[in-house]
Amino acid sequence: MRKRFNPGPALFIAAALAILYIPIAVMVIFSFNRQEAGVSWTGFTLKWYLELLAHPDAVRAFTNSMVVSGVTTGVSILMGAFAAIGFHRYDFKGKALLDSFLYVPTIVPAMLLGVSLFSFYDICKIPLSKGTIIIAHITFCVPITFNTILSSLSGFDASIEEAARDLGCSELGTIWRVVLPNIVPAMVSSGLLAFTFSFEDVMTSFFVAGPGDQTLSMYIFGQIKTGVKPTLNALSTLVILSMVTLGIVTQALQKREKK
Amino acid sequence: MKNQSSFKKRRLSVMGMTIGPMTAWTVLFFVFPLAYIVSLSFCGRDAYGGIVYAFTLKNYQTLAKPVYMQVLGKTLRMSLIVTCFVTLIAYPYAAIAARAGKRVQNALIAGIMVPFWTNALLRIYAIMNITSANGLINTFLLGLGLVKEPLQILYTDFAVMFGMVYTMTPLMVMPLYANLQKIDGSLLEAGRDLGASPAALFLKVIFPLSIPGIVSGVILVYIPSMFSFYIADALGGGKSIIIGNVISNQFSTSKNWPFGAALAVLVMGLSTLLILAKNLLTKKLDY
Amino acid sequence: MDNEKMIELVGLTKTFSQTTAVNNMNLDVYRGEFLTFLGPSGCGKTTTLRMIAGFEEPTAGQIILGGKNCEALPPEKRDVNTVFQNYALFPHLSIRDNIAFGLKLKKLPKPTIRDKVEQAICLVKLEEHVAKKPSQLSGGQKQRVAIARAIVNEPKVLLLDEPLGALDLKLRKEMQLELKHLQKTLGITFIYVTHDQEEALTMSDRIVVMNRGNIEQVGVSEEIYESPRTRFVADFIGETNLIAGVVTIKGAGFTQVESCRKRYSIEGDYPYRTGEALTICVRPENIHFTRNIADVGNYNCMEGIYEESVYVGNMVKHILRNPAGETITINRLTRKGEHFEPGQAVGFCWSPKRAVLVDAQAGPT
Repeated sequence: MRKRFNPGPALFIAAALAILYIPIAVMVIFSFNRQEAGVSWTGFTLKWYLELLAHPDAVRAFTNSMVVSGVTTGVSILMGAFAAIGFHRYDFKGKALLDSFLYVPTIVPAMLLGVSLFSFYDICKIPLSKGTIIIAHITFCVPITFNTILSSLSGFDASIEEAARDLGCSELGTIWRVVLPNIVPAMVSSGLLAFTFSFEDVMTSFFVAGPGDQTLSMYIFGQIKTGVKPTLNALSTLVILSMVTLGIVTQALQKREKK
Repeated sequence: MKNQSSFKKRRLSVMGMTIGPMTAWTVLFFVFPLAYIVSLSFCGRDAYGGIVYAFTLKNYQTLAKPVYMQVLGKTLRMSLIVTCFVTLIAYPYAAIAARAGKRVQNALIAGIMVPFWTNALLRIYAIMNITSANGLINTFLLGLGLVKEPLQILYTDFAVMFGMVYTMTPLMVMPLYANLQKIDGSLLEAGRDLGASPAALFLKVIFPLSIPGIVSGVILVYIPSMFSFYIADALGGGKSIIIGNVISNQFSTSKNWPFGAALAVLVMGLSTLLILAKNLLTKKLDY
Repeated sequence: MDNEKMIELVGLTKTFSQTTAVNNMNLDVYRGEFLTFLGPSGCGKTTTLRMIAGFEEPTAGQIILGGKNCEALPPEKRDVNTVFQNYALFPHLSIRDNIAFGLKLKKLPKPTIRDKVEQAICLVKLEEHVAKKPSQLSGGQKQRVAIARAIVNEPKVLLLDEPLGALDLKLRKEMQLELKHLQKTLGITFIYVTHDQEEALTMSDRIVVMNRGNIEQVGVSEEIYESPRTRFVADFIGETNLIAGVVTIKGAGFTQVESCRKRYSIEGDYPYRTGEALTICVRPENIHFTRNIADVGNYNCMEGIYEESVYVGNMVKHILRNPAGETITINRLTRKGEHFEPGQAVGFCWSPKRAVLVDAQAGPT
């Protein structure tokens, strides 16, 4: 029996991907267009990129984002790795319950976390700053690193730790010499994931950022509301490029780890 | 035995050192704030926007006012429409991907995931770009002479919903793809063998088995779309207001935190109900 | 093997919530011996090994290692090393670094470490693989690394927990001999855990047969096989025929037992009293067929109904049922060409020297 070629699925996929990619492609292309508005191509230029770099707000927002997401990633990896190691090594009453409890921050909508932390900072008289954004980001990033590292540990044979003890390692020495080296790939890939989530967040940061502590996402949000601008096209192109690179690296790392 | 207890004590201290920080963090910066906002929803507010710590149900009474109920109703309706459209796009996409060859499969999934790795805000901005008065769509339509004046696409409910569908489709594709891929190919062959037509095969075998995937996808799309105030802000231009905007306004411009808290609690309650319903359904459908 | 005690287990007991894994175990292990814990899964052999290594805390009792009570010592402070069933090699380290792991922790001078590691690598013939990661090795090679990694530390005792369990049969047989040879060369005390009786019989100086947390019998291979002391040991080690009986006469150097309304004489001094119920056990290879059950000298004879024969290559297994309904297996060399029909009454007999008496019930429960 010969199958007749059915063009339906292919057409559907093509249409879906076209709708998905055309707006992004338009944005990228017009970031290099000389004309400020409209869709007619008037020549290649990099002036929007240069203008963007001369924009102090944009540059500062970028720096802020790097600081916030950098610190968030570092702390989330450490705290998540520690908790994952503890979870992997020890059994105790209520472990399953604690596990699902620690997972909840990822399913609560980001905005709710934002408003509740906002009012919580207020009652505790904590002034809004970069630090308050970092706290908020860590809260929803730790579960990500924790779960990724824990699942990589679950494939880790417990007798390997016993072997280290047997050969003269202390309990902490075993964690340091044997467990940690084996979860480094998971730490890196979960860290990249945490960085992405932190870098892209706007719904939480919106509520908990101090006046001068706009992150890049917040800056973009502010700019978007005022309409289409070529510098914004340029900025978007840069961000998209770096995020996609980061994403590809993460995926590649996860794939390598699975092997 | 003495050394046995010292054994245990050391174990406990290492356990505390590892699990302690994250647990403490979650309690301090997640449980406390959530608990505080729930209690805030039962507090009053003075004329200057300050909080009056006295028990009241006023906020919940205000909530029942038609104006807020309308916004809530509209939000639930819009999220529902968005979820339906996302499902209509994501299901065939995931189904085609799940049945394709290994290479095509990876390409299709990467194809939908790569934009997902870029900031949602930027994708919203990209939509603004092509839907604006002098954007690609209008230029195209004007050029073909199909319309005399630029269509008002941006700053409408349609634009908001389109933006939500656009940004959230990948969220639905992933669980559906994972679910559909797990369906054993021999089941389909068995169905054919027993005389099912392709349509009957879909209705009687594939679709029932994919319900858990649909349900997870629905949750992943429906709840965030109620809150995505930034999409409504950017693509609705302040004209399309969803519940997320109202909450956000209470905490920023209107300075009525207790009322904002009550709204948040309401939506949080709705979301929790949805998740519980999902868990119940998934448990029941646990093949 | 000399008489210096390397390990003394005194009243060693381990209970897990409801079950007793090891029950009041007393055992001495001597310097340089190859001792095997043999028993079915769940008999407590691995738990005993893990208590010696320090991975499990005894509920009661003592472990005396080289004359010192090591109750309070964590695994890293004990002068024993373990070869794990699934190798437990460090996946992030090369073969060389895996082997050097213990020595580096002891902070030995670098040249010493290098020399010792080289020696260990030569001993297990892994010279070509030192730079590889464990995932690049075959099962047999991984096992060699695991052994090298343990013996390079020159432990007082090497503990081996079913180390060959994951290998295929042929490789297993090779490794058995290699391990035995290695143990003789190094002179290190080996404590070996296995559920494979053939492996135990091949390799061990002494075997400890365990069942449900108790020691059933301790002895050299021949003792365990030829003169099992309990019904469990007789049944667990090799094939055996178990025939229920009652003591009728307790003589000097022999015991008379009645079974199926006939009397049988078994050589040897046994602690059973007259009238006590017990079990006669006879190995299938020690039974012969006879045409005339009345005229076989002092052999013990019985008649059974022939059921079937199973051809297993070098021999034929003949299956019969005796008057008490017990299954009797008789192994005969193929070339003897004996042939019977199912349902036929067949006489068989065995020498009084070739049977042993054990208890009526399988082990204490």
